[in-house]
Amino acid sequence: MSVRPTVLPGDKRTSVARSSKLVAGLVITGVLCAIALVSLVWTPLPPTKIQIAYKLTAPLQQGLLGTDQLGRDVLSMVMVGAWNSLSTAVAAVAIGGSLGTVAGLFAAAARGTPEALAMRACDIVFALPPILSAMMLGAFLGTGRWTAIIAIAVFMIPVFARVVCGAARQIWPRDYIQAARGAGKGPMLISIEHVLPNISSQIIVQVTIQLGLAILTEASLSFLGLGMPPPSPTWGRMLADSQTYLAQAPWLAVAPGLAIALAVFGLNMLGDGLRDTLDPRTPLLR
Amino acid sequence: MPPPLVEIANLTRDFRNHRFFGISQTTRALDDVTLQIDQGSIFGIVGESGSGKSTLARLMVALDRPTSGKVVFDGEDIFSLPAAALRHHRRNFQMVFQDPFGSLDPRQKVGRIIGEPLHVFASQSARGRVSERVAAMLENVGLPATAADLYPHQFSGGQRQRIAMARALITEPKLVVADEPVSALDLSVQAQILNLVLDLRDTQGVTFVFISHNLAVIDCIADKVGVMHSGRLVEVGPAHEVFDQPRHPYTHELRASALSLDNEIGANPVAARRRQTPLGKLTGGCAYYAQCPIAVARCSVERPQLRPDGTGRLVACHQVASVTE
Amino acid sequence: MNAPLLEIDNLSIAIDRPGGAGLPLLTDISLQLGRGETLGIVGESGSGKSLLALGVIGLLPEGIGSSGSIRLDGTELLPLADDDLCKVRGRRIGMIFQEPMTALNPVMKVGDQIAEGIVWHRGVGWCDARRDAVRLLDQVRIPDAAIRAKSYPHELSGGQRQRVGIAIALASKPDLLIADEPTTALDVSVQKEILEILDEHVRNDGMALMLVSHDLGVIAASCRRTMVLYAGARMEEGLTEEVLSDPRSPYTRGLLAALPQRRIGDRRLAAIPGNVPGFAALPPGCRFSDRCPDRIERCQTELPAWRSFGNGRGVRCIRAETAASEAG
Repeated sequence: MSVRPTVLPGDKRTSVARSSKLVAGLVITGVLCAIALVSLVWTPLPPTKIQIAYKLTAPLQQGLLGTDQLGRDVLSMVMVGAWNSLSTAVAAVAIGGSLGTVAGLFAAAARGTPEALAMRACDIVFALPPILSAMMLGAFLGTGRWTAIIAIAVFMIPVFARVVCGAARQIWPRDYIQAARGAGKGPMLISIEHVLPNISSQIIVQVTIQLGLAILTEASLSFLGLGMPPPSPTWGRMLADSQTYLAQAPWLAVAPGLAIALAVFGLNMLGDGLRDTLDPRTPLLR
Repeated sequence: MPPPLVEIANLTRDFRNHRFFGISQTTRALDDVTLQIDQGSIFGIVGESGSGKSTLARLMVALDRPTSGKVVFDGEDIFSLPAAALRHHRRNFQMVFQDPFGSLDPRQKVGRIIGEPLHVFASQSARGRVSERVAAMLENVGLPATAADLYPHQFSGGQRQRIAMARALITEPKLVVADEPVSALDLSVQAQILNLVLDLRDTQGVTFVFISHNLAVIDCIADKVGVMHSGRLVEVGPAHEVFDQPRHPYTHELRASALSLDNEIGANPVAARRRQTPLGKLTGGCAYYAQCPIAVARCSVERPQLRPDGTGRLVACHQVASVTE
Repeated sequence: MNAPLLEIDNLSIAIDRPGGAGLPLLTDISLQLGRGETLGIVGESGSGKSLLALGVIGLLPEGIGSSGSIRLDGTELLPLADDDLCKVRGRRIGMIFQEPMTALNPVMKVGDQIAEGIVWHRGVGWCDARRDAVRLLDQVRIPDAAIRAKSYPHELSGGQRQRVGIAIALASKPDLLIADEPTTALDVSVQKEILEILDEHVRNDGMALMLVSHDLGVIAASCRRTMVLYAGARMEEGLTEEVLSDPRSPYTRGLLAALPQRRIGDRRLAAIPGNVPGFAALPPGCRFSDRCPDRIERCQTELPAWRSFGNGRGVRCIRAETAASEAG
């Protein structure tokens, strides 16, 4: 008996639109990641090197993006800031995402009272904005990178738990899950073997979108002085510091601001592109 | 005579729908069903949507728990077994689902899908031979062994139903419950699957419960048939006899409304035979009372029980004596 | 003889592809349907039968185009602009879909959904239209029509919803009704009643009916003529009685033999081997050649032409052609 693919060839026009979003997202995010990685081994100048003589020099006169009030090279600071922002965001999303995914899978598998309890717990955490929890955590742990990571991660848990639980609940009634139950598998094995792979695309999309959000939150935390302590530069603190010199040296605000906007934009494009590609919803003809 | 493979006694399943403000409503999907299924037979169940046939199917393979009643499988009451023992017992009864597109995990390869029950049931030493057994099973259901390395979407509906059949059979179960396994298939492929069921019964001695809304399919494949209406069995007997000479007025109606190639619309309008459905639900009486052409006053107050009618059949109707062909 | 109500000539439907030929889904369809006539379109999944129905009413999904000619009462439909096509759609052609729940607006009372079409297409007031809606519901045999008109779709059973769908389609007194698997989602006891309602309108109002179904029983019960489609091409056409009693295409013969029926002894059903091909992977030559029990070598190299025998009878099969010429 012959085995023939029964897949429909997708419509060209929409797939071009889909892939252009994806490509833009990939390029922007890829460039940012590359810059962040490069900053670990090389920057034009050490980002903390103070050269008072060259303070507040305009772009291109001293370094590509000029210098700040202490004569530090802005390009080097933005590069190191990229690493600080991205690594904080990735760590936060990794921790929050995996805890939230486990909670969501559990809630969907258990149903009934445990699910209701888990979801109410999510509501409570939702009620605390990350900035508030960072301030509370900061009071206990002191400010620093891990305070920011934990504050953002805690905020991510209910976001992922909600999305995963919702998606998993769509999967549970399917016949292949029933068949797995009939094959003697318990809820935990079923969640790992059948539910998780089938909602992985939704999780991946959520990860990219939440990464963007985490970068934004990290920036606001360090803007408020709740993020990584000086001297290591972060985009948020660079923005905060630039306020004083906004009239004399606008590039000080533009460089980190643009970096934040670009990072969030790129990740959102990537998320949108991934959603469209992973979930094509091609109209099926029968 | 060997004892029946499955004995279902007074099986009832209620579903509760929650509505606003904690007001809930109970619907009885399955109502006091008692049934025996003989070893090596193909038992057909017919009924319309909402008649409880899928609920009965899921209970028979313990994918759901009954509100009351029991299912005795091969001498063991499956709902009184502890969870671990029930899990181990599952290898003896498997299910095939209606939708060949929804019953296979799209993210797993066919070989893994078919081998899944073995991962739970097979002993450690036997696990190494899983791929051999999968290959043998694929050939058994008429697919090439190379199919194991492909994903479900690379197959057509009929081929997927063969894969589902292979998964159900790999644990060498005694009973396979198939819930509308051919309804989603094209006519030209339907016959292939029906023949496969017949072959598997003949060569491997598997007992089948075959559920369908299509009378012709049941008539073609089943030895015995149970007719369901509103969660109850209304008639049970040898398939050919039941369809040739229905004793319950509902079976009669089902048969009359099935369209064959020589039917003509307009010859015998349905509406003329049907009485007005009364508003509000009857309690206590026969569920078919409202549509029944031969109902008497007794039918509206007393629910008929499934009883032998003296010709080797079970019928739930007060008016059995007056149903004549 | 008057010109037929619906005349389709050499209709092809294909997925548009930038540059070059489209991917054909349906090719070389020609048919005629007069007032008061019934035509059954029978086929399996992938035969293009639903696409044909959508093509006639001009509701093809985006990215799928049609070529050829569809004439309604002599008016060419294919070149019409969307606005003009809308008028034709509501007033002259009605359509019934398979799944009545998705075809109805869930947040609108069913009476109003019927009245909406009447107001729109006949320009009467809402008050009169609502009265008409109740009359139509009565006509499709919904008990207590006046009360039911105030219900929402989810409060009705599947059969009743399909009746509402029919009432909506009939509201504008269409000349042509296209029913795409109207009873597939329904129970058998309801199925017959729905077909009776359609039959009544064909008989009494001279409406033309094009019924699309995979079920030979439904087609046999309600259509005078039948066209058999397979993988996007018509295989056989003729009076339903003749097609079913004397099928000339091996595909039709195979379908009829595969109908489930009581077996004698240990006999098996006559199944057609293989699977329905996807339209992207059609066999070369005749589309049925890879499954056909009667194929000869030529079948696998050339697509047989449509051969007409007169009296509306036609078939697409090389063997049938040779058999006919040998017979004289």
